[in-house]
Order: sequence, then structure tokens, then C-alpha cells
Amino acid sequence: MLGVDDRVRSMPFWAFRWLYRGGMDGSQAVLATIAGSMITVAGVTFSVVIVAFTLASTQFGPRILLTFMRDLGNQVVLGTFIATFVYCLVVLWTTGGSDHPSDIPALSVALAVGMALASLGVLIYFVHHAAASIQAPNIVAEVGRDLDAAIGRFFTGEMQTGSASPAPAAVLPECFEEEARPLPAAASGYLQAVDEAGLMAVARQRDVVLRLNFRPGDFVTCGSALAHGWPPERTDSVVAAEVEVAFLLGNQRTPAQDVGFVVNQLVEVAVRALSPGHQRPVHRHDLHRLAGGGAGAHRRVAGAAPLPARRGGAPPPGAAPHDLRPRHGLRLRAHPRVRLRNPADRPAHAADDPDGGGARLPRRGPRGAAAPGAAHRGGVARGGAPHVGARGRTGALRGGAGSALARAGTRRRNAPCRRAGQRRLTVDEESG
Amino acid sequence: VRLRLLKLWEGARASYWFIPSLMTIGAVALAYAMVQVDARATGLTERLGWVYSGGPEGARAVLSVVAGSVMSTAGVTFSITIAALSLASRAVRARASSTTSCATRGNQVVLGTFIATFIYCLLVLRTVRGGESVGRYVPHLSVTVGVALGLASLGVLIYFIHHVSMSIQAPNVVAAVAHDLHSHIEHAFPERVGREPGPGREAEVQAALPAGFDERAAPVASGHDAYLQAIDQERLMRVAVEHDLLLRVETRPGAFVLRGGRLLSVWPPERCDDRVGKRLHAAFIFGAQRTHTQDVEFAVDQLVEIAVRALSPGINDPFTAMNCLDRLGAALCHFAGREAPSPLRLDDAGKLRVVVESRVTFAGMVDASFNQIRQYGRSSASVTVRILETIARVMPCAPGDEERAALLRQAEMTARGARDAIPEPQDREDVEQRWRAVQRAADAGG
Repeated sequence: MLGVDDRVRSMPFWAFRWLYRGGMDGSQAVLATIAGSMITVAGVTFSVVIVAFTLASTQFGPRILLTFMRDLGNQVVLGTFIATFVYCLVVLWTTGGSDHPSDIPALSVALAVGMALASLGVLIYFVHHAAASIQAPNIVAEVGRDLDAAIGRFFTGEMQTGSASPAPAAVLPECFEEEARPLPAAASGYLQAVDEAGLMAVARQRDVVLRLNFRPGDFVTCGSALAHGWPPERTDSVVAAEVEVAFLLGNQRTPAQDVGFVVNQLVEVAVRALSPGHQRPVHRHDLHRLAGGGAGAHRRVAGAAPLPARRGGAPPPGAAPHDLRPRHGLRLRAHPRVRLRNPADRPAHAADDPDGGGARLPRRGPRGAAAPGAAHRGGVARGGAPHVGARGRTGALRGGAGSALARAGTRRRNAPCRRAGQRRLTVDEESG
Repeated sequence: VRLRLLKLWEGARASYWFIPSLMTIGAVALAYAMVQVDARATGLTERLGWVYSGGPEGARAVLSVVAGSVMSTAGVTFSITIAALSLASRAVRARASSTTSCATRGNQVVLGTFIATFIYCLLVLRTVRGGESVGRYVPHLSVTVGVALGLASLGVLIYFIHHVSMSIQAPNVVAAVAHDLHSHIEHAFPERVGREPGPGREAEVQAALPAGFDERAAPVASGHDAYLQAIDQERLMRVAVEHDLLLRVETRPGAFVLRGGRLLSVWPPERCDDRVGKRLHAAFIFGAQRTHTQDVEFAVDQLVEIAVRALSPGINDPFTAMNCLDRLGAALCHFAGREAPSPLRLDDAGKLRVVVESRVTFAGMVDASFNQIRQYGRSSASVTVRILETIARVMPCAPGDEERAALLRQAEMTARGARDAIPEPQDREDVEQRWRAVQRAADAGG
């Protein structure tokens, strides 16, 4: 900008006088004011908003803060404030001094004013956005969208026909249990993600079979076996090191590979709302979102549950292309704590609603409108109605996911078992 | 002396004033040095293109903007952040705030940077002379450094916002406390080197004490009603060697001691006069609250406290409780592999001088970890299930029958509580299944 100002100065400077008419002192005052106010606004708004979110998190659970931090809008807002401050400071710095009118950086000052106006607009957006995002229905909707996205990442939605795999126990070498060498964890923490591509690469390179004992979301204690490798003589330090690197441990669960965590977030909002300390009647949105999430899971699980055993080498003829894709078995466990205190008070909205609760669900993006999905949702909601309230709905979630898994299981059993290629990697679905 | 210094150091590190005041002093020194450099190196400014080269008005404007904005930001952010922390502590951690998050070095450095920038700008601002008086003088280098400090403050502001919103999340608080626990176990207990079968601790100690010790040993009484924070064992050893005494410590760090309560038994009783008593008493450090220094159970209690608060019906947060249980399980596994230090301390000549019965046993840790969570969480199927899962996971780490028995007892109480408190049969069946898994794990270990 200052460079532009230098060029422009060679032209008759009155041409640009309309941009900024003050003298050097005035331009410095403008820049100083903008810089000072921007940094103050950034400091004040962000700290107060953190207070607001802390308050909200006592109602909706501490994990809501994560959503606040991940929000791209908030980051852009903070960035705008700070960029304006830095810009003003730099302009002020490079131009201070000379009193000659032609040295006034008219364009730069004008841009600074423009940026200040933009920051104001961003501030208004931010206040609106923050206020909206601590309202219960919006929080629930946000987490619900996360759940949809997680399920979408997790299940491909394609029907699995070919290359069905038998249960892991059946495909493992017979002496696996006795001989396999355990590969211990070096630290404690929640398993956030597993780099299955890396594991597959090392398994292929060393020609071993690995069985993973944990899935994302599990707590791993220091020293417990992350995986078992077979045959033991080929499971050497290279494999151990690769396994250690492939398991990403952290302080908390993250939604990246862990659908159960997102379900837990929704359940947590509901559980807290049910606490006598809040006396906040459960939002229908909460429950519907749970039911909707369950329906989403139902739909997608029925489509394609990831295979527990992955083969290395060339895929067998007719195998589905996602045979080797790093995906995990679903573990949707509804929470037994979601239960209304007094079921008689709450004659489920679904009960006096002939269509079942599902009919009044807020639209959840384009997929929500799909016909089979709607049918499932209705089914889930009706299934919940006799139980009345949250228990019924979460029960439906568990039932829905469970029955879907069972169905996916039958599909797998019915499909012919092809055993071309060598097995490298199995994910133990029994644990947990 | 060392322990007192250590206590002072810990106190200084845990308070808000220490690092900020150091940084303020640094800022004063830097401002002075930079002005001197400017006065000496007059030709330098022209050679370095990027240095501030404007006149006095511009320099004043820049410095006052940086100073003013940094100061107001510091004031606002910190006061509001304290509000956020206190809100969060109501929900998650009671006293974890005073020892872990609130006083982390990061927060102190942030506050220090703000204050140092302000002081620096103020001091440099003083030396800028405008056109009307003696002559124009602009300390160009100093102004440049001032702007750099302003930008650094911005960086810390961003870090601070991130840090605060991270540190008030329950899982991170739990992880921080668990990390403390881990390092204190590491510190207080050396790694287990084989298991000597020998007689139990009690018999060992009894055999080493002279006859009549229990009845006739002279007491050293406490002069305070307070928590015992630490015992300076080196000092005890020194006094014991000097006066040829045999001492037995009767309390442990973390205990609340009443005025007149017995801290030490001294043998032989006739050699314990007032002067010796005073010197021995000085080896005990008291305070208004427990600290981590020598008190492993304190960190366990903090985790338990977070879990129990989360389980209160006013909060209903079983996930945080489960988070704490995971961490407690990891700590127990860690602890199981460690040997409690021998209760008998000999001097250089090999003569028994100090007896410290370490009261921290694996069974004690198991009870401290699970008792309260079990009592408050017994009506919650998910928490009960997680307790049993944790016990099943710790079971293979337990080194002996005694330890396994402690775990099994805890698991049995958990399962029994669940049978009474959980109405839904399916939930009870889930619990029973985990209970059977614990039994299988115990059998496999034994």
C-alpha cells in the first residue's frame, strides 16, 4: 500500500485528496485510534465470549467449548482485528516524521479506515454469531451435523456385495492367540486416530499379520498391547516402532475417527438438561436429533459397515474397491443415563403425533429428505414412542444401529467368502 | 534449608507476581540499554533500512499506541479470564485451579509480556524530544524495538486466548492433574526391582525398634493446626546423628495435624530436651492446604474430586467422571510397578536412625481412587461399568495377591452396589458381565 502511495504521489496529489483530506497529524491520529481500538475490541470481545461459553458449558457440557474453538468464523474475526492493528501500526511506523503534505499516505490511511469499517462489520457478525451459537437448539444442531459428517466419513453408503469377510477369529492363523507378539504403548491417553495405511505398509513390508486391540476413542494405558503381531519372529522393532507411530494418543477423544464420541456429545447435552440442577425441560430438538442421528446411522450402516479384516496384495477379483480403505467398525452405544425422571409428565410428543416424531424433525440437509431415510426415521421414532421420551429414543438409537449391524452381518455371511490375497490387518470388533 | 527454598520456589511459581515482575525489571533494563545504544550509534540508523526513520511526532504516536493498547488489553483480558476460570472451577475443578491451570507459566509470561511492553514504551517515550525545544531527538532503534514488542504482545494475546479456552476444558484439566500424579509417583517411588518376599513391613519395623519404644519414647508435638505439607528427612537424619537419637515419624505429608498432636517419637526419651525438640519440629513444614510436594494421594484426591463433582445430580456429567477413571487406572498401573521406599533409614555408619512408615500402599491407592466414585456413581450404570472395566485393565499390572485382592474387593463392592441401585435388569446384566471379566482377569493373574 505504501508502495502504491509512493507511485501515486508523482501524479498531481489533488487527484487523491478526496480519499483523505487531513494533514499528517490527522492521519497519525486516525491510524492510532484505529490501531488502539482494534486491539482493545479484540481483547474485550474474546475474553467476554470465553466467559459466555464457559457459562454455556456448565449447561451443555465442557465439550461444547471444542466446537467454539473449531469454529472458522471466530478465527477469521480474531484474525481481522489483529490484521487491522498490525496494518495500522506498520503504516504509522513507516510514515511518521515528515510534515510535507505530499508525503501523506492518503491511500494507506483510506485503506486503514476501510479495514476499520470491515472490522466493525465483523464485530457485528461475531456478536450475532456468538449469541446464536450458545442457544440450545443451535448447539444441538451443530453437534448433530458433526454426527452426520462423522457417519458420512465412516460409512461409505455403498452396499457391500463382493469380498465379504468372515469374522476375524476365523481368518486369523490358528496359533495367533498363543504366539502373537504384543506391541506395547509407550504412553497413556485416548486413542484419537489410527494410521491404517502406515500399518498396512509395514505389515506388507515385513509380511506379518497385525491385530489391532484398540479402536479410536478407547483409553490406552501405558504398557498395554496396542496390537498383536504374527508371526512373532518377523514382528521386530521396525514393526513395533511403526505401530507406536500409527496410534495417535491425546488428552481427549476427537471426532476424526470416532463416531461414538459425537454421539456422546449429544447424549451429554441431553443428560445435563435432565439434571435436576438445571430443571430445563428437554428440548424436543435434543431427542429428535438423537433419533435422527440414530436413523442416519441405521441407514448408512445398513449400507456399508467397514470390514474387520483387510487384505494386502492385489484385491481379489470382484472385491469392492473400498476393501483396503482405513475404516473402523461402528460402536454406537446409547447412553443408559438418558432417562426422564418422570415419564408420566412427558407423554412423548411422538405419541400424540400420528406421524411419529420423525415427521417434525428439522430438515437435516439434503440427505434428510431422501425417501428411505425418512422411512427409517419414522420407524425409529415410532419404535420409541411406547417407551415414552428419551429412553425410548436412545433405545431406538441403539436398537436401530444394532439391528442394522446385524443385518449387515447377515449380508456378509451370505456373501461368498473369497480368500485370494493374503490377510494383513484385522480390526478386532469384539473388544468394547 | 533446601526444602524451605523449594517451598518458597513453588510458592513463587504458583503465584501471579513472580515471572511478570522479573519481566518488568527486564523491560526497564532493556529500555535503558536501548536508549544508550541509540545515543552511541548515531550512524547505524541510516545503514539499517528497516529501522524506524520518522520524526518525533510519529515516534510518539507509535509508542503511545502500543503502550495504551497493550495495557488496556492486559487489564481486560486478565480480569475477564479470571471470571472464566472461576466459572469453570465451579463446574469442574475445585482447587485444581490454584495449583494447575491458573498459575501456569504460560499465563504468567503473557501477563509479563504485556506489562513489560507497556513499561518499555513509557520509558522510551520519555526520551523522544520534539522540534520546539532543545533539538529533535528520536531514538530510532528503541522505537523499532518497541514496535517489535507490540507485535510480540499480539502473538501472546492469540496464544493466551487459545490457551485459556483449551485449559478450561474438562479433559485437559483431568489430563493435567493426571500428569502431575504420574510425575509424583515417578519422583517418590523408584522403579520396582524384584520382589523381596521377606516379612511384612510391620514385623520388619517392630523388630528394628528397641523394646518399650511404643510406651516410653518422648513425643515431639505439633505447634500448629494445619496440613503437614512436607517432612525434611535430611534434617531429621542430621539431628538424629548429632544427638544419637532414633526417630519414628508418626504422621505423613497430607495429614491434618492438630496442635499438640504427635509428630515424632524420640528414643531415648531422656535425650529429647526443648532445644532438640525445636530443631526436630523445624523439619516439618505446615500450610493451609495440601500440596503435591510429598503427597501422592493429593493428586489422586484431585482426580476423584473432579469425578465426584461431575457425578453430582446438579451437574450430571458422567463423561468427565469416566475420563477421571481412565486416568486413575493408568496411574494405578504406573504405581503398581513401583516399590515403596523402605521405612527404615540408616545413617552412613549403618545405624538405624529414622523410621518412616510409608502409608501409601497400592491397596490404599485403590481405595482412594475408587471408593468415592463408586459411592456417588452407583446409580449410574455407565460409571459402574467403567469402574469395573478400569479394574479389569489394572488387574494384569497388579504384582501380587495382596494387590489383586484389593482390586477384587473394590470390584465386588461396585458390582454389589449396582445390584441394589440400578433398577433396569439389562443394565444390571451389563454390570455383571464386566464383573465376570474382572474375576477372569484376577484368575489369569493369579
